[in-house]
Amino acid sequence: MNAVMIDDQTSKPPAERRARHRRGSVSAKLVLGAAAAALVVLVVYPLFWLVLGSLGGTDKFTFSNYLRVVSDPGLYDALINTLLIATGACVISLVTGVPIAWLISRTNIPGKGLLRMLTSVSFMIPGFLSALAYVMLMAPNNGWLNRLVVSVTGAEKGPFNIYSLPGITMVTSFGVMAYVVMLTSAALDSVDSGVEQSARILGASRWKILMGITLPLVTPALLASALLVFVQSLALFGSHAILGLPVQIYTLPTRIYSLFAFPPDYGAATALSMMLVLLTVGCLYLQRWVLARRSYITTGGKAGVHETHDLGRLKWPAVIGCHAFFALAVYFPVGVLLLTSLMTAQGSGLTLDNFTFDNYFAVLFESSLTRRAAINSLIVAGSAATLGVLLGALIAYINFRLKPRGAKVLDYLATIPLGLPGIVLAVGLVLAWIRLPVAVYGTLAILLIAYLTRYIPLGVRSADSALRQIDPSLEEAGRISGGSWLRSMAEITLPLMKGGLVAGWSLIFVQAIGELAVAIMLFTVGTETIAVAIYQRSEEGHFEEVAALSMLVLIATALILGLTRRLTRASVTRF
Amino acid sequence: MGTIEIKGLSKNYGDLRVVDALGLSIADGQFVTLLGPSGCGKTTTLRMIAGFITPDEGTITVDGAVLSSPDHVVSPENRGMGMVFQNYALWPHKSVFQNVVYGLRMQRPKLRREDMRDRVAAILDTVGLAGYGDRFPGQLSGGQQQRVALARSLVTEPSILLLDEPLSNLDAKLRDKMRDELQEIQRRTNITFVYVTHDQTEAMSMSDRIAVLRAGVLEQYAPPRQVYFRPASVAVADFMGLINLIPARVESYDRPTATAEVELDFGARLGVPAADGFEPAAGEQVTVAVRPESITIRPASAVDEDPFAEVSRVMMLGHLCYCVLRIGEVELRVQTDNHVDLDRGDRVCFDIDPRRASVFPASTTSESAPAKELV
Repeated sequence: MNAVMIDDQTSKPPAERRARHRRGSVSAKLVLGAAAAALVVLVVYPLFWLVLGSLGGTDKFTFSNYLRVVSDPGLYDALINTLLIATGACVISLVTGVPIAWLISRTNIPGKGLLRMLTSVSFMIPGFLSALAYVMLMAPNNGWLNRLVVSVTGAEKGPFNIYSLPGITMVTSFGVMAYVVMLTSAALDSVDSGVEQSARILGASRWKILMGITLPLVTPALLASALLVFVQSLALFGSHAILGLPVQIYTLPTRIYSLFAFPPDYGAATALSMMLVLLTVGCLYLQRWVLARRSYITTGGKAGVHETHDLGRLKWPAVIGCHAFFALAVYFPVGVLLLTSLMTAQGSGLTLDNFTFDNYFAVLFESSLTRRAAINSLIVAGSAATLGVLLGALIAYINFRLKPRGAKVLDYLATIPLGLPGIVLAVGLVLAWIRLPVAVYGTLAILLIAYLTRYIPLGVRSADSALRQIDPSLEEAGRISGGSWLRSMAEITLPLMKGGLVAGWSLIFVQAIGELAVAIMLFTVGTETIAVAIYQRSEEGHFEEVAALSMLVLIATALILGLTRRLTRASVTRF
Repeated sequence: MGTIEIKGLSKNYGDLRVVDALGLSIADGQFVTLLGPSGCGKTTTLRMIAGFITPDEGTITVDGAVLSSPDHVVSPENRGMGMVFQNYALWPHKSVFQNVVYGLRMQRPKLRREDMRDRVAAILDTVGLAGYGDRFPGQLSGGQQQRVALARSLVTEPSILLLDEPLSNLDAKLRDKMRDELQEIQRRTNITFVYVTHDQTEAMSMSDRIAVLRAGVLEQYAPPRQVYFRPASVAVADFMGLINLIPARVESYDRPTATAEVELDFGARLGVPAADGFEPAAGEQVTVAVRPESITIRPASAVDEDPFAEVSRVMMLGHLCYCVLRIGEVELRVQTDNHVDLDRGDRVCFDIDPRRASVFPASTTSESAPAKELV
């Protein structure tokens, strides 16, 4: 290097340095203030109105709403139905999910990649779409499967009735069993094969090892996923409504929904909402407690090479079993939607002159409702995903890097939406925004607010996991090289988080597109979303158009997720 | 210029006092090492100099301007320093060129594009990475990443460069090489280096002065030879390398020469210099510290009046050899040349070079057992 110049950076007058320094901390304070303000508006404000509403609103403090709800015999039916559905979904998810997880993680079953993909597909199909597909498949008289059975056996009536508690339970479980597969197989992957091999060398049979060592090791993950399934099933408004409401099978979410129908009973709706919140939060705490005790899971050390069990002669029966399950959870529902969307009349059967693309044409170009709904959905889901990821990044950054006093409070506020089922959040938002003079209620803005609130935890979690992988020294290196805080953020931290943020964006986007509970409560004429349009069209019996719209949702979902996968894999090469 | 003046610097984390009233003045163009075991506060001190941590007490002044005090801290980007991080902290999404040019892009007034390119090329050449500009950090070896980190911190020609254990992730051979190069770069550029390490060999081989820290307190701040041969405390002596701590009793003390006449535990009498600031009284129990290389072994002859010792262990390390001698209750580690022909149980005589030993107040703690480092 040439002779080093004495640079005059360090000899700047101290006053100027001081000024620049203060500006630095000001921007940090701004970040903090913005995040706090957003959380107060999005989370605290509607929650406040929800609690206040259940206690008599602004007029006077009273428990009468709760008393009214508790003394209503209809409540017990709804509560018991809800618990039955959630418990049933838990059982189905565990019985199917644990073996599938074990097969994927620990055996030489062929087509693991396909099984993994089917699991995430089952997770990504919005619950109300599965429900609608099953209406087409198993409606008491003209469901496809019923008609098939009738034509084959000559029986008078098909055996299936999806409008029933078992029906609702089954469809609900399809949407949530992925939690069990994903959490269990992650836990199985973290168990070192050594613990199994050491049992084997001592003479234990494979079955004994599985039951005595492997499964007990992943029990915390099993319990945690079961609780998650339970919580999610409690709140799956779509399938509860589509399959339960026509035959007056009420659950807590649908009961809250019908209390909002004319004449609305806000008091009872909020009181009931609080009960659902209590149930949800209780389960989530239990889940957190279970996960916190799982210390022995991590002692596996580095997850070394896994011994894969040779299934031998059981290989093909296992494959058939898995795909039989996914036939119910994925193949049939998607298949019936696809076929129906290509038919002029769904009752006329699979013939060539019954084949048409008209349904797609109709929903995309002819019907102003569905076109509007699609555009609304894109706008709202896109904005919610963008803002949600940004807010999530902000909150995660505050938690991880700025660590100011009170960061815990922020983090806590950001997790609250996890405890608010969609329908409950919608109730809170209605109460909170309907009274304001600003025109938010009745516009797309209220939907945006609702989605944003609902998906804050998702945004925080994806930003959080992206940020965890970036050593703070990378940003410090930017600072010491002379880059301001904002600059280091923009040039170093954010680009490195890109992969995680893109993934978070598409997760929020996809979920927002398929969100029914919130939208159905908050839409007005002109602000329908695609989920609302599908729901309304199905109530009118236009199943061909419903199927076409559903296929569009599924295709968009698949495209977005596929694109994300490609993008995030190719982006940052870490070392 | 790059003079650093640290006064009364303290930092607490909860109840833990990580840095305790640290005072240090670093002259322009010096290579100063903050040395100490993990948790001694050396990295915290470095990060306070960089401006990442606000001190609880005290000030850091650079070239006459107070950069850090409890009231205000000039942010890192406005200090014009360079820093090399332990994990290099290269930006994985930027090429080598983009990593290195970053600091130049931040400079105001703006530099010309061609100037930037030239300076990056020059500095890459200096660190031996000419032509690597288009690679990404993930495509480089650990040693190359280290050089990129160095280039990135040097390209702005800072007057102060902070280095946080930069060599700890390299293998032994590469570490030796980089040690030479770092020293060479420092001598050539005359940048003030503040170097943090827990490796006393690194510290001694490169530094102009070493600041030995222990539990947040500065134990000694002196040139390497002095730290090694005239340690300020038993703790420093112990940390700087293997040392024998022999219990002894003072016969007499000669103030003008600062030399104490002591009788060692096993009977020998020596005139040993006292540690700085220590004036032992006659009859006082003290500790005599002797390095293994300041003891020589010779064959025992029957007429010798010197005490005999028994060889209890021989450890051949290749370039040199350690013997453990047992005499009475005392075990002595002695460095011999690698051709010595000794066996367990041999009886030998030995001489201690008294001018290379030091007298300290009697050590009460168990830290007088440095043998563990040998194994």
